[in-house]
Order: sequence, then structure tokens, then C-alpha cells
Amino acid sequence: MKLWEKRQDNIVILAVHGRLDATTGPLFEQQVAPMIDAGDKNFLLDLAHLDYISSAALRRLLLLAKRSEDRGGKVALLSVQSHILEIFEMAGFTQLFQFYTDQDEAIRSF
Amino acid sequence: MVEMINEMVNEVLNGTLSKLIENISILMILAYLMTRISSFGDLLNRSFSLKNRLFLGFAFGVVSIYGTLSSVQIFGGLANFRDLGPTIAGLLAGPVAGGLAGLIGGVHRYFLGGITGPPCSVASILAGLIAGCFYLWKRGRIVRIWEAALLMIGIELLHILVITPLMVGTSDEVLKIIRAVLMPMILVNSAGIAIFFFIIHNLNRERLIEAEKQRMDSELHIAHEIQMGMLPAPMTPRDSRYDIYAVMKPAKEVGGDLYNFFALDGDRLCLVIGDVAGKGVSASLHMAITQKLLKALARVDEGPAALLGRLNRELCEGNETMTFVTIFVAFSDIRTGETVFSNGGHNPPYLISRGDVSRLVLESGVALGILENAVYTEQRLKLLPGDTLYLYTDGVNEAMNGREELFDYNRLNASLSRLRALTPEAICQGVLDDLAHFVGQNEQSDDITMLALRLNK
Repeated sequence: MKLWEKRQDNIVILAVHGRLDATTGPLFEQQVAPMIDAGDKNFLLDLAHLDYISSAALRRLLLLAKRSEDRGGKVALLSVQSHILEIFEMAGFTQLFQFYTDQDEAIRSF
Repeated sequence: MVEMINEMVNEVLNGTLSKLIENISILMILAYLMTRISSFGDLLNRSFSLKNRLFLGFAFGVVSIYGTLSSVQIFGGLANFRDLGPTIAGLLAGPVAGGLAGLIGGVHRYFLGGITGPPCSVASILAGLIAGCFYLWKRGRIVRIWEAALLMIGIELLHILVITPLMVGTSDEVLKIIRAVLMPMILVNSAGIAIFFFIIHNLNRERLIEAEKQRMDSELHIAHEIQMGMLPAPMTPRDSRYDIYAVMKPAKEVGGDLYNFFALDGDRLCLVIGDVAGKGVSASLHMAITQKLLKALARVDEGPAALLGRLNRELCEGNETMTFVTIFVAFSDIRTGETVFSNGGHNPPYLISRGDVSRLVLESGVALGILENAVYTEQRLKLLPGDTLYLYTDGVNEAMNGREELFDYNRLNASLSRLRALTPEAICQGVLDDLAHFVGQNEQSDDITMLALRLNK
């Protein structure tokens, strides 16, 4: 798992590459937690290069969404691959995130 | 002082000190081997018997003799580590062991003769006794490395600067020997004892870690038993109208999967399968809560969707870690085959009907524990006599082999098609066999659970 961070306006754009699982989930948390603590609340996760997500790692995305929403922000997901989207669909989590395929449109949604 | 340092440097250059260090390193290997024998564990537990104390005294007496024999001649004096053995024996097992080791080393030294023979003999015995008293003062606790080194320095000072002049006077010859051996002996003996106790402390830490690990393992084993006790035993029911079988294999000692089946009333069975996000201890706590809550919340006058709704609200409460549970619940009337089911984010079960194997198409429902006001819907199907409903967790379809391929739905479909005519038990065991064959040597990465119900003809 690799995390690339970009910022636009008050939005943190995180490109997640590779696998998010029991091993890499804590790394994701380690990198994201300081941003939340620093006051970031708007996250756009670019998942175009996310190849796998385990249920335990899915929990970390929910946690990020919860913390963002508690602070009046939100988490939006960009370019989710179809097999990853299936995992969100099966768990019924599509209603918890906004999904976008176009980055500009996603950024305008914040 | 400067003179002493100069002399020390010379000693090193002459190889005297390095020869001693070389000799002492052999002793360290012996010490390490000794720490590996089993009764040494008793020593660290302070449950050392008298027999073992005497054995230890004898062994370090031999070490003391070795300290004499491997000594290096300096101006007619012998720089050696004879006192080291008795001191270690005393520090480890008290004055009896220390005194015995000192006696053995001392008597041996006495018969070697030389002007320093008598004081050296006395010093060895005293070293063992003093260290033994230190042991008693410390109430048998293993001394710290610096304590042992300081004690050793004190004993050497006593030996060379007090006992020797007292017993053989301060002639030029004696003074020459004293000046020659003082620093090398202090250095070699204190370094030797420091290294020795470093080894002992390491071993002790290792033992504590091992003991802690065993304690954790046994607690996990108990947790495993408790978790398994929460699941209904797979059995053939007394009711001949149906067969049911379930199996759960956690990836670790405890897991986050769950299943349950119980009678709602005379005709209706409640079937449950679920999967807590994650695995291991944290998942198992959520599993236990979910398992107990679901059965407690089940009511005969309500459908499975209402049950999931109420369970969800309970699981949302205080769920700061956002741990979610996917659950599929079905109420099956075994008289009519009418089955009402509701799904909270779980994998779609399979229906084996008239030889056809198909995955149910489920309406999406959000996994439990996340959205407090989540609404669950109900769907229906009718089980015909001979039909089987097969529930499972993603540990089945996501089982991975050494080439990182998933078992996936195609293989699960193929397995079920091959096994479709068999009993629930044979179906579950058959899929387990196929999984084991597919996964091979690869470690099981997720909990595996399945539950099958067949209405009999």
C-alpha cells in the first residue's frame, strides 16, 4: 500500500495504491490520523489503483468517514475499480460514501 | 596511577591480558552451556535444592581450578580468575555453594605452592562466602550486572591488597607481584562476572517471555473453547423433517465468524450466519456480543428484517471503532418450506433446488453496527422437499492458494454442483475438502464458516 497526498483548496486528495488489508490498514490509519488531528475534514480518496480491500480495512474507511462527518466534512471516493465497488455494494456501504469518476466533479461536491 | 596504566598497556601489548580474556571466553561458553541445562531453571525460580546447590558448588569449583590453570605468569605472580567461579556460585546459590567452590579452587591452589599460595587459597574461599552472604542479603534475587561487577572488584581488592599483605607481608617481591597482577585481575574478573550475569539476565528474560507466551496461549485456548460453546453443536435434529449442519474454522484461535440455528416455534427455524470485520480477539468480542444479542432479540411475532433492525441499533451503540458485522438471517418454515430472509451486507447464500445450484440475488442491506437508522428488507423463497439452503462466510470464496488465486464463486459453484445431492453434513465437509485441496500449504487467512439446511422429502 502506498499513499500519495495532494491538496486542493481545503480538500485532501489521497491516492491509495496497492492493497488495503490487515497489514497495511494500520499504516493507512497512521498517515491519516494526523491529518484529522490537524483539522482536515474533507477527503477525496482516489482508489483507481487500489487492488484489494479487506473487511477490516473497509472499517478504516468508515472510521475516516465518521470522523470527517463529525467535523462537518466528508469522504468521497474517486475512480473505484469494479471489483472493489462490488465489495462496497455487498456490504451495503455504497449509501455511506459518494462515488465519482471525474475528479473535478468530485472536488466541486465538497 | 599513570604508572599502572602504562603497565596495563604493556600487559596488553605483551599479550598477558589478551591471553586471560581468551581463557575467560572459554569459561563464558561453559557458562552459556550451563544455563541451558534444565535445573538451571529452578535456580532462576529460587527453588534450588541442596543437592543442586552442592552440584553447582562443585561445578564452579572446577571452574575455579580452570581459572588457576589458565592463569598467566606475571613477575612470578599468577594473574587468574580463580575467584570468579566461587563468586558466581555464591551469588547464584548462596554461601554453601560459594564456599564449596572456593574450597575446591583454594585447596587446588594451595598445593600448587608459591609464595602467594596460602593467601590465594584463603581468598578463594572468602570470595565464595562473601558472594553467598550477598545472595542471602538479596534474598536470592538475581543480582544486577553492575552489582556483581562491583562485588567482584571489592573481592579482588580484598584478596590482593588486604589478605595477601596480611598473610605474607610486604616484601619487595610481594609488592612487585601485587603491582603486576592488581589491574589485570580486577579487569578480567569483573569483566568475566559482568558477561556471565549478562547471559543469566538474558536467559531469565527469555524465560519470562516464554512463560508469558504460554499464559497467553492458554488464555486464547480458553477463549476458543468459550467461543465454540456459543455455537450450536452440528447435529442431526430429532425432527426428521429436515437435516442441518454447520461448521466454523477460525483462522486463529478465536475468530469473528458466527452462525446459529434455533427453533422459533414448532415449525419455524431461525438460521443465522455472520462475519465481524477483522479477525482474532477483537473480532471475537464482537462475535460474542452479536451471537448472544441476536438470539435474545429474536421474536416469533416479527420477521427477520425487524430482528436485524433492532440488532443493528444495539450494535451501533457506542461502536467507536466502526466494527461492522455482516449478517444473513432466514426464518424457515420446515412444514411448508416458506422462507423469509433478510440481509445485512452478507454474501448471498446458495439455493440447491431440484439439482440446480444458484446464488440468491439479494437486495442490498447495510452491514450492522454502522448506520443507526438502517432499514432492512425482506425477501422470500420456498424450499421444496429435498432443497438445500447453503450459507457461508467470505472465508470460503476468498480462500487463497499459493499463487494468490481466490477460491471464488466459480469453484464454490462447481463444488456445490458436485455435492448437491448429498446431506448438509456431506456438502459442508465436501466444500471444506475442496478448500483444503485448493489452498494447499497456504495459511488460512480468514475464518471459514458454513451452514446448510435441507428439507427432507
